[in-house]
Amino acid sequence: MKPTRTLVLLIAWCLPHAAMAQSGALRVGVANARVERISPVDGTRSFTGVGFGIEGAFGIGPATLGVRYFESPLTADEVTDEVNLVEGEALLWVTPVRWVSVGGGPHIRAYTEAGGTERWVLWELRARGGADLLRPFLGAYVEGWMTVGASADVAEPLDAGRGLEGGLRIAVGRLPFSARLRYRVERLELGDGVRRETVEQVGIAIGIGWR
Amino acid sequence: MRRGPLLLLAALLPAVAAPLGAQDPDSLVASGVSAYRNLEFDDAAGFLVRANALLASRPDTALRARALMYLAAVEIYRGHGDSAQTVFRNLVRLAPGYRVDRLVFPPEVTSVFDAARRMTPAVGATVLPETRFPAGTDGFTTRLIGSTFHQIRVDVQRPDASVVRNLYAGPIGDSLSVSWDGRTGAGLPITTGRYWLVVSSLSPAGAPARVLRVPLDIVRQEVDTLPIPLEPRDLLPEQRAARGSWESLVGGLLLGAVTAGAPSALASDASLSSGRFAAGTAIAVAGVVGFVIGRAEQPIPENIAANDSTRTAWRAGVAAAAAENERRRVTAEVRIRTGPPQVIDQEGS
Repeated sequence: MKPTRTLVLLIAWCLPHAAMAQSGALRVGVANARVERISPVDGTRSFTGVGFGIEGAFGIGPATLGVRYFESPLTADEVTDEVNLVEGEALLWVTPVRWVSVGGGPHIRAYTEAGGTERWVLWELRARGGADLLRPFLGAYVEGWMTVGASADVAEPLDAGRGLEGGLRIAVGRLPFSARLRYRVERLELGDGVRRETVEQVGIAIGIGWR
Repeated sequence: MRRGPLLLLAALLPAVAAPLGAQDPDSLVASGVSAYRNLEFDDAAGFLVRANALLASRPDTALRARALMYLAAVEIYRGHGDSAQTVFRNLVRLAPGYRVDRLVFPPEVTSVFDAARRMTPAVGATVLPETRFPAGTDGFTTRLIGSTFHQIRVDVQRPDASVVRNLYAGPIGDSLSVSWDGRTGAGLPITTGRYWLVVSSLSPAGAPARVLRVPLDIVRQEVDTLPIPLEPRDLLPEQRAARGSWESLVGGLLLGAVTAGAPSALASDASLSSGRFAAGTAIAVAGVVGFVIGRAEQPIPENIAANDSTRTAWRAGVAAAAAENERRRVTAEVRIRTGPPQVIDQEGS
């Protein structure tokens, strides 16, 4: 699926859900992305680039649906290869207590380069813990996850997948505007560890929220 | 001009003195009227003068007015015009609303009466012995009857003659109704006490020519008032205590450390960017900021709003109770008992 079509479908899917939600947030942002691949054949290759993302969260009661789309052109650090990274998530979260949420859902990633497109579909279970640093202005969270299932058009089978995200939430008083600073890293190991892939993103997003 | 009545009294006094105490004024008046009808005017004058002397101390003005009316008519027929006019003027002062029966008395009598009435401004007042009404309503009404068209002034006065409320100032013709709502000139409810309803008939120069005073015993009912609501004490705290600041510090440092350090354990063989340190540091610094700011008491907007609402409701309750109490106080029932009228006539009666 082409990235632009994915974005359109994601937005089209979000809008009716946003209308029904009791609370929600929509944010857009930029992030610096870095992908590092280690394989016996190619050795270590890394790509970096700055991309654009959009994300939303729509809550009804204790349940929240979180969606995210991110697209970034990546450039190889040593050679002139160019790769386009596209990511999308749709995660269902439940918040049993105020500072802990658990959730899960599909995480799709695609690398598009001259030779073709490599697609990943990762099924992940996540947990998030947070704290209010200065209510209602500042809050922080850490989110960790593990991949419980995957399908990818690569040769090696997936051995393990883990990820971590830490972020800072900034609210502007009682206005519906907010910002989020985040760092996330995801590690995938394939083929008995012969291939290892690390994806990092450091970004900031701003948007509106309502309740 | 005043010799007529004096002569009349001088002539009649010896005849009157002895039998005064022994005769009934009703029979004397009846005898006088009978003698008048029989054209025995001297006899009629004797009976009527004696009757008038006996009736002077009685509150019954009707019989005295009848005696004076016939006495004045007798004096006309006896040729004592000045005396007749004096008697008629006394009659008008006694009963300002008195009107001569024109079927009984001929024009030469009625014309003298009319002239005397026009020359004698006087007002009579009719009031109920007792009146009860809520203050603020025109519950106390006095019907005034004028002898002739003239200027009057009607006041409620204290015993020291200070005016509590002017009820009317202007002309009176045959009659006039004046009402009072039980309030002072300043709009305040009258207090319990002794007062006077004073009706002053004014001369053309504006000076009181005749003053009618009716005693008023006024009692204003004491009213039960509502208690003023006490200021609310169960208000919510409007400042947040500083205990949450440790959560900020510990939470910020812990989450910042995890964000900065955990990625190395997650991908130990990867060359990670320094973004994790930037994010981790930002979280830790935010925790320190939250700790420092959080140590100061923070306002709790929702509690402040709730307390404002409570205070507003309390103030509304206080205002409502005060308004109701003022309404009850202002409209408290007033009871007025009237006494016998007194007349102060500048010309004497």
